[in-house]
Amino acid sequence: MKKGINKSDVEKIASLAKINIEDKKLDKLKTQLNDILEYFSKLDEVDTEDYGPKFDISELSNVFRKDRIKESLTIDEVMEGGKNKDNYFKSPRVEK
Amino acid sequence: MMQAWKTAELVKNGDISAKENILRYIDIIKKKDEDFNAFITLNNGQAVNRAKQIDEMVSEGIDPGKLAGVPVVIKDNISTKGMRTTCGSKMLKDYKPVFNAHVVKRIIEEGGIVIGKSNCDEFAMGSSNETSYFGVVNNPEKPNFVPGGSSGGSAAAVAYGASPVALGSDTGGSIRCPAAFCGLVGLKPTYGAVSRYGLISHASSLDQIGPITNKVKDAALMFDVISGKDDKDQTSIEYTSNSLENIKSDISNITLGVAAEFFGKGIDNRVENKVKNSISLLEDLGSNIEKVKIPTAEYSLPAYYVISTGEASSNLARFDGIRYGYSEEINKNWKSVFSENRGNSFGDEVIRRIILGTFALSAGFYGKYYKKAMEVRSKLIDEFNQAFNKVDAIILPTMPYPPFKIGEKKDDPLALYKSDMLTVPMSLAGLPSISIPCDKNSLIGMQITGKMKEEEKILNIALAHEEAL
Amino acid sequence: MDVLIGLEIHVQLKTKSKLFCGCSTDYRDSPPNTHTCPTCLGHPGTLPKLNKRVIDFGIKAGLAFNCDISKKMRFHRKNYFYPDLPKGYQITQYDTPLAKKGKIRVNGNEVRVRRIHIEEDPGRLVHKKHRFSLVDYNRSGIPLLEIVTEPDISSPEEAKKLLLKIRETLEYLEIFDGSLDGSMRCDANISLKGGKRVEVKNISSYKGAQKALAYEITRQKNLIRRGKDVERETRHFDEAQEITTAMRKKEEEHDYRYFPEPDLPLVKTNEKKIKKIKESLPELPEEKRERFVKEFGITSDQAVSLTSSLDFANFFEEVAESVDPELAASWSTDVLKGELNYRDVHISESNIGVGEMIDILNYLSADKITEKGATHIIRKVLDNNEKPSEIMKKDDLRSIDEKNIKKIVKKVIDENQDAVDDYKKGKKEVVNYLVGQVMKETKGRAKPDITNQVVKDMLEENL
Repeated sequence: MKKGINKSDVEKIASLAKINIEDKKLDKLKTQLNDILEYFSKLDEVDTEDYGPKFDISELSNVFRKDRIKESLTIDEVMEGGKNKDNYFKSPRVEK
Repeated sequence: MMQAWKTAELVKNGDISAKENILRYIDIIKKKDEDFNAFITLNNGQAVNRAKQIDEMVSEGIDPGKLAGVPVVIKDNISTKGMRTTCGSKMLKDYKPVFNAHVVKRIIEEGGIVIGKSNCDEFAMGSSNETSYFGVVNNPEKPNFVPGGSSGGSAAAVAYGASPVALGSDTGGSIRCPAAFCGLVGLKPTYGAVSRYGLISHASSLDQIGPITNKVKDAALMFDVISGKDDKDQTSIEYTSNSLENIKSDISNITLGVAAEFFGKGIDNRVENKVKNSISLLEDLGSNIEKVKIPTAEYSLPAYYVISTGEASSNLARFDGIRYGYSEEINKNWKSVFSENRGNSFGDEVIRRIILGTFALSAGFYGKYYKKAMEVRSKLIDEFNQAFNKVDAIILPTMPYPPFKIGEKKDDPLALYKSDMLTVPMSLAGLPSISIPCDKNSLIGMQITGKMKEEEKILNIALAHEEAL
Repeated sequence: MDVLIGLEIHVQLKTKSKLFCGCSTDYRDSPPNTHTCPTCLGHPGTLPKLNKRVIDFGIKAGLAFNCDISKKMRFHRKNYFYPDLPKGYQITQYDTPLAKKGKIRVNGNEVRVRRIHIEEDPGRLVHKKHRFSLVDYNRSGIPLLEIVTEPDISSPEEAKKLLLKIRETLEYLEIFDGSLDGSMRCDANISLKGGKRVEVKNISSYKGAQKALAYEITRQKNLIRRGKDVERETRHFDEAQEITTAMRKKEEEHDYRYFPEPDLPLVKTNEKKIKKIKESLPELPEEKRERFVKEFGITSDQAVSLTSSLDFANFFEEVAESVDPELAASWSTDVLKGELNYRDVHISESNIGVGEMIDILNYLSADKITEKGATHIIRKVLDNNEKPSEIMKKDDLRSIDEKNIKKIVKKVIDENQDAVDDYKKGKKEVVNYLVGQVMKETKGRAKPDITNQVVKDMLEENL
């Protein structure tokens, strides 16, 4: 039987993904995740030796844009959804 | 209800007034939406103004376009300039984009009128429209049952008559599923056929925008309007579509493929019977039926969920509350603020998928999950290509069961994921696939899947079936 | 002392618009958040649009540093959170970089280039006195080239020289402007005598690189001397204090979860395209210097001074084709350069053109003016934009011939009898004084060496 992930693993991933999860929800989440991850392991059954990963569905290449300047947004448009301080975005404190 | 293509014709000729027309629909929404909760934001004032403009254009002899005066419902994960675009989430409950999605621009250019933004599963993650911050959507064809998801609002709106056409988005079945559950037509285009610019990404290598309509010809019309290369989306392909003009219901030389992998185990008898009847009908209409094999089909579901959650975990990382979106107090260190903004505004399903996706991409697991899933995807595409050497299109059910009761599957996420088993293979392969009702009364849909860029062919088959009912 | 230094250098490419959107890259003098759009702000629903010129510039740089250019490359997402990173991921290149396995020659040493790749710059955090930070996204999405070397650099001085050489090369290619603040930043790796590797971040100047590395060597040597271990760590360079400090240990381990960017198709290139770009490359500074020495017979020091900028090198070369190259070289490096620097003006923006310089040097060679006169004309051209011939006439700079010099010397000697007496007494420095008087009288139009000789001769005659 595979090891699966434990509660502390879930906490680590939640921290990596920057999402606060209430302690009481962690257990249930852990169980659900383990069920799903076990289901994902079904993929091990497929023999993909002759197949590389398919990263390009539309098989396009060399799609480019010319180096031309386009108008930027007005400061009002830029700031509409954020907290404005002298036209900078207010951000929570970053230690420097 | 009058089809969109007909409405556009009559408006263009001055036979009906766009303003009168839109007021009728606005009235229907006013009376009925309370029961179904299909809409998050309505656009009444602007819609009427636009309709007046259309009427003026007509009186001046100017052609307003292919969608002249037609009301269009837009799923709320598609950006509409100046109009709230929430993705069914608390994170974006007050967010107003400063630009229009490419598809919205196209609809406006062709004289279409955005009548409102429809409800959907949060960030398009779900198959039943039960995860939206703005409440559950009710199925107008079968109240207290789910309308399907994630484009449940779009489907419900068309089903109860709010408009003849709607746009939804499909990552693993989110157009086809609600279309099937509400007795409608839903088309997921070829990957790249419709620009994703302005579509708030769920899974970048899978997402496509497509129409949900009452009738096949309207799906053809909508696809013509929204498809085509867009330089704002570098994954969009060259594609000029005239499917409405070219559409025909003669399928006498078509060969249809049936794969055993899409029937039998896990499929409800009722679904299997209805779809088999439809296949017989198609045979009667002159097509040939042949067996094909897609052995890797049963692995599409885990492959799909690994890939879509992986990509989604990355696509949703931008939601930190600084430039837009939900934000609580910021006078703390940034890591706490980010985690609180996100943790307190994302719903459970979204959080579950982000955690899964983060895990599937993480050090030590990338090879086992994401890369492996992409290899399985490669193999699946190969099998489809081989099948299409023999047949023109593949026929299969859309959903493994008819609509279920609201709340029935809420506590079993994995069971709900498995409802996508018949729609994800085409998503992985980037193939166009249309869902149409098997008959006039059941809420059971049949999928017609074609080769890439062969929307016209599958629309023809769909029309043949529709006309024969 | 075995010192192994490797550098990871980020340079901003000189395109008109950003890497993935059309916002202008000329953001430095603009107010915050005025060079932004939904794409570089990471608005939902936006998609990156790859700027072709960045690929071309990248290939040029790869070729200039003798790298193998990748025929098939893709972009990747580097996933991490930070307030200056709008999408919560940076679009970069992971296992298919633009170029690999190159080399740069510095000080006679060959430094191997491990890889060069393209990525986007994040925004900028500004820290003032508030309880919150401020973010400006003008810089978000600026195209960067990341150049990673092997640990082949053997001293702080060499590191600085390498950075200067990179700057010079990229400027010659016209893909980079090193004069822009913060346009080149680097991180350094350093280890001593097979010890643990220390990473130093936040270096943003050439001198800074040298100082940071010199400080590190001292710090590490001190630790070793005291019998302590040098820890493997990441340190922060404090430019103001010129020291490196330990970064807080609580830094999370980064798991960047790289995966291929699904919003951008592959970029492919072939031998033919690469060859075409290679042929279009300008002659690089080192090649040009070698050629100047060979072709024009100038010294290598002069060559270095002449090739300090492409414009200046071109100016010199054109002048050297019409006048004696050594004359052109010495007047360009010794006089013209000084005059330009004094006026803080670049050769391409100055009033002096190739034609003017040739005229001046021709007058000089033909003895029509003296060296003082030539300098005078150069200054007048730069300041007043007049023609050399006009200045010559107006300011009466024509040099005086020997016959007339003799007349003036005679006059000066007659007026300065005490000087003559002093000379008789043996004070030879009187000659300089008398020459100076002649210069004053002629406003510098008498050639110094001739005047000198004439004065000596006449003094001797008078004896």
